[in-house]
Amino acid sequence: MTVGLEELIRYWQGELPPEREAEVEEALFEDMATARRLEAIARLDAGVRAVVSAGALRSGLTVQAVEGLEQAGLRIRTYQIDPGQIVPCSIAEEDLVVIRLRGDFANVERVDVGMEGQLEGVGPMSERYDDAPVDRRAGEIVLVYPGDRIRALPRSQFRYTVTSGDRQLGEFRLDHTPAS
Amino acid sequence: MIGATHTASCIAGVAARFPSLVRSGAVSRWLSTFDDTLSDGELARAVIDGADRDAEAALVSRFGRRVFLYGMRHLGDEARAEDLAQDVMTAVIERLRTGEVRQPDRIGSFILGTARWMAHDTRRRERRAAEVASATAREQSSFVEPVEPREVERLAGALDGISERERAIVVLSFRDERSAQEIGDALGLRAGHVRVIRHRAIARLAALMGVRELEDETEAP
Repeated sequence: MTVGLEELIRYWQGELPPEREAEVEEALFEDMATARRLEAIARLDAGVRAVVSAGALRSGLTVQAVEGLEQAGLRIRTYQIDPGQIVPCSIAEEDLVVIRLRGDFANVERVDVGMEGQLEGVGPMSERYDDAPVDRRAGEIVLVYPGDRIRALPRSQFRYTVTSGDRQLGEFRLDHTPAS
Repeated sequence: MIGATHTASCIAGVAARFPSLVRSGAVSRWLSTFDDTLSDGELARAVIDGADRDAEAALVSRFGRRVFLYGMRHLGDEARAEDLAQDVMTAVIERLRTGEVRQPDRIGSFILGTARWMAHDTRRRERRAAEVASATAREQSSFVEPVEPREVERLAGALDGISERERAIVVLSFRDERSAQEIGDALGLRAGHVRVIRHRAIARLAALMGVRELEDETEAP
């Protein structure tokens, strides 16, 4: 019998109890559809690693995960910002830029992040990160950007607004200067 | 990505041990992985009969990749998984040729059993030699076969197409090899909730990437 996607993901992640893991492996070797599915999961896994490795990731993550990327050899420039603070920023040869928004987020059910930018010679821009992941241990929102994307920016100013429902939890500003 | 390149490598490894397999026209058939025109049992019996060398190639093609996936799961990196696939398929063909496989219809189970035994043996030898790979080693070996830049671009685009939370969970699951429980602890979610989001995210990514094998399950349970 073909193993369902959910169970195959759990197998691939090493989360199944031993007896069920053995059953999934029987299906892997007896059922071609199961083999094809696991192959597809493995390809996605390898692809996600490659996206991260190529410095092409834009995602919320955790502090621990970012440390893992650094240990794997990715060059990372990090800015930590407290509410109300304006932080000057730039980029050189780094693969990724990490923006760590610090605040009282640890006990909030859900946070949304709005980002508004003013790009010199280009005009305004905005992005929304709804239901952004919060690193509960660090009490921070950790935003990862591809280095190439930041390198393409002209002189610009960015304002991040973190909200939970109608409540504003903090406002954070970055003042970006391109590398000379 | 892991896949055709690995299969070709596995086939090359097995072929090196069985030079008679390498003949005109066979290689292209080997690369058509998961060719299902014959049942597993028919394929195994064709190898036992010895009349059709292409049957051996087809068997390696069909099962070598599964052994590789099993090896990735249990041995942790592509190089060791590839070695395992080559060793297992070489041993299986030898056993088939010498008539030691008594139930050809259960060839899948036989290959799995061989893979389990050899993987166990690999781990035992590595423990003895104190060569258990570190997480860093796994990371490095995962990129032995680089993903094509165009694929990276497509997948980066697909990742942009799923929600913030889904994207984070996919990256933490695959890149960081975190379990649902660990991700839940880090993000303040129940493990069950993480599994639901992860399932939904992977199904959506598969749909965005046109991965047909996973497209029939688009809704999380």
